[in-house]
Amino acid sequence: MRLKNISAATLACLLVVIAGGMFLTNCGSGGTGNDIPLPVVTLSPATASVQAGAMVQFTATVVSSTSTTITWSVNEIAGGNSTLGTVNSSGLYAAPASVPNPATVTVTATSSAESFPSGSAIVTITAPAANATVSVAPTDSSTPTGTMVQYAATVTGTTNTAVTWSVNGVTGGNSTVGTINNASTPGLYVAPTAMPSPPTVVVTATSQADSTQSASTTLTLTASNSAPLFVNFGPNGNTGNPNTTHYNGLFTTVSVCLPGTEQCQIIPDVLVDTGSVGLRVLNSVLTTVPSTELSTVTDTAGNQVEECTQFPDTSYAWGPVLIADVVIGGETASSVPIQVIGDTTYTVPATSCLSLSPGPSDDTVAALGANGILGVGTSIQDCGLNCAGGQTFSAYPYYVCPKDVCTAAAVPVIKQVSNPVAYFAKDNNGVEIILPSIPSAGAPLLPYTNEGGTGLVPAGQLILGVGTESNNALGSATLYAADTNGNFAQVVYNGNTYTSGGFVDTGLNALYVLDALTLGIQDCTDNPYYCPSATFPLSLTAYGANGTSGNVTLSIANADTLFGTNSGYSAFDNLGGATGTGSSTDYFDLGLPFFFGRSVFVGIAGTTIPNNVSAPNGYFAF
Amino acid sequence: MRILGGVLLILIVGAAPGWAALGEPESSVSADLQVLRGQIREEVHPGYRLHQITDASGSVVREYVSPAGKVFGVSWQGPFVPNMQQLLGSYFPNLQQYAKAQTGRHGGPLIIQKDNFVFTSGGHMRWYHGRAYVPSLLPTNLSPEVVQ
Repeated sequence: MRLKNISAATLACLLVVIAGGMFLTNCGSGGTGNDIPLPVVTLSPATASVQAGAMVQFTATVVSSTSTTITWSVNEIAGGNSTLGTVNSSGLYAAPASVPNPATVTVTATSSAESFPSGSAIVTITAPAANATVSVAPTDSSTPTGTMVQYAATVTGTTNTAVTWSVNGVTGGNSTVGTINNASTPGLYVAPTAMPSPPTVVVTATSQADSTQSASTTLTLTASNSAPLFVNFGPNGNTGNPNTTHYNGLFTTVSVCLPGTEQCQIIPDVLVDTGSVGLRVLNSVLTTVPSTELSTVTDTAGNQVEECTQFPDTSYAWGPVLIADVVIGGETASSVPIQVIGDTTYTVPATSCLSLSPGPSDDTVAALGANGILGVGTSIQDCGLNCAGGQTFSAYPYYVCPKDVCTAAAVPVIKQVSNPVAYFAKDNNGVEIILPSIPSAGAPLLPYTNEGGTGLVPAGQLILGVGTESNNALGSATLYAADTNGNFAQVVYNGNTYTSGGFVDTGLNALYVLDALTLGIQDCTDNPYYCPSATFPLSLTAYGANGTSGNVTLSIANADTLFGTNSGYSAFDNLGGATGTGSSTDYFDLGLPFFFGRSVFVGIAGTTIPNNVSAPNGYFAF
Repeated sequence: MRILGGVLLILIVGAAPGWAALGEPESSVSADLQVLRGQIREEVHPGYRLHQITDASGSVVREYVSPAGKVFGVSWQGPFVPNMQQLLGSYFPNLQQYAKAQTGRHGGPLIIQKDNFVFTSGGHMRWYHGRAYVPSLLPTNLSPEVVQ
């Protein structure tokens, strides 16, 4: 008998019993005796399907003229049992852990007071479905304010793979924490233009098939003039061999776009190199923005300009100079000449390129150890006036190859591969590299789980501009104007003055300082680093071409010990190596270890410099 | 001695023009000068002679010549890497062999130290430095540290 069939007059006497309640009622006695309905207990829901191990709440509805108590049973067993499932005095049925045989049980509510028919419900116990599981990508990333991140959700275990996106628990997000699209382009997150507080938001995808299933990830918003920095082994990973493993690799993500369009390709694992200038990207990684769609730089005769980039380790990069928009953090360098490494048109490098650079060709990810190199050093162009004509040198980097015969070519400075930072509309006078301090035993891959436990955070930041925003003031940093070679004017060590050169360079993976004999320590026997018997303190005084000076305190640990103690670590602030053999060297090539625990500014020659300092060749400041 | 060296010099130039430098007679310096298109300065030091070629870019190439008249060491410094094939001559294949054996850039200078060939290369873009010498060609009692 269904509740809805009960006459309206009886509704005043309807008692709803939940929680095993015992209701004392006497409404029938006060009513018109002829209207006393047939006593009834009904259960809601009348049927249920429940997964093994799950629960369902039943409600017993009693229509009675007298007080009543409800008792519950499963298949006529009071309270049920572990095989059939249990039901408590509140009507909460807990299905057994596994499906019984038969899979259908009857849950019954019986009035203790009257012998009218009890109410029953049929429960079908089903096997637990393969749980719907949700995952999202990318996980624990960061993005500058005002930029977008495309999220993707993967739903398994259910045919309906749709998800609902939310930010900080708000479906679709909002203008404060950023919005995320649930309609046209699902999962497209648009960061707010103003920094939220806190700067880390939680992006969640919830299964529409099973709203109990969701996946969340953190997204840390950064200033629009910043890009995340990561310290790791690069795409080649940890080879286990110190001779071939790229310790202290500093990487970021850039986008390469067809000029003036939104057709961009995000390129991760790009080496950040303050020791070179200009963006160089492997042709093999340019897929959605193929190099063939980028316009070429040509000489006056219309020949495509090729470049032979020389690296200090004698390896080289051969490929054309092309024009692209380059996005770093939230800023765009419009129509900047870049080099694409690996040309499909002129596949054979100029003969003299091979004479200049007898080492390997860096035309694969394996050889380059990165998808590209972002040169953000102290000059605007990678060559400058020396390559602009009027002089012809034996070791020219630029070539044209009419009829497949490559000859050195003069290229105006404006067409040379250039520092993308100098092409920004603002924040275009240099960069700041911020990296955290790390323990003397080294650190694993950075990013790392931060102390707040909100997820992975980048190791550091590449801040665009110097003295142009609230986050890149020089502050109390000492500014060392570079000499004409892009070096410190001199470095003093152990009472000796070295004028040949010294510089800081994120693209170098160690502190390459003098040689073992001069320092009085030992080279490692099985890798190119130093292996002092005890950690060696290195105290230098650096001098800028503008007359400034400052002390630089570093240390060099035993590389064998570093690698042996923590074989999975990628970051070391005390990894050192020689710049040469014997005791003949006088160079201080301070690589990434120098940058840990410091904020280092690298200023571009010819740009506006804070504090009106004269630094015509650019500068370092820290 | 000096005259004899001069005679020998002329003979070699006639026999082997063009490629020159490390391990070659002193006369090869002039070939380098042609290729490198620079200005030359010559110095006489105890135990060796030094030819320093500076080109208009500011690149400096130094060639060290033994009393026996052979180039035993070279060094360079400046905005370009010099033409190594020109500078290392018959030792260029040694450099190719060892340099090519590198597996993947990992951001450091290149140091090759073999019994018959020592080479280092470092620096940064627009400023490269390096040197090479042949231990067996070093004048007696001369330290390789003179090659700077």
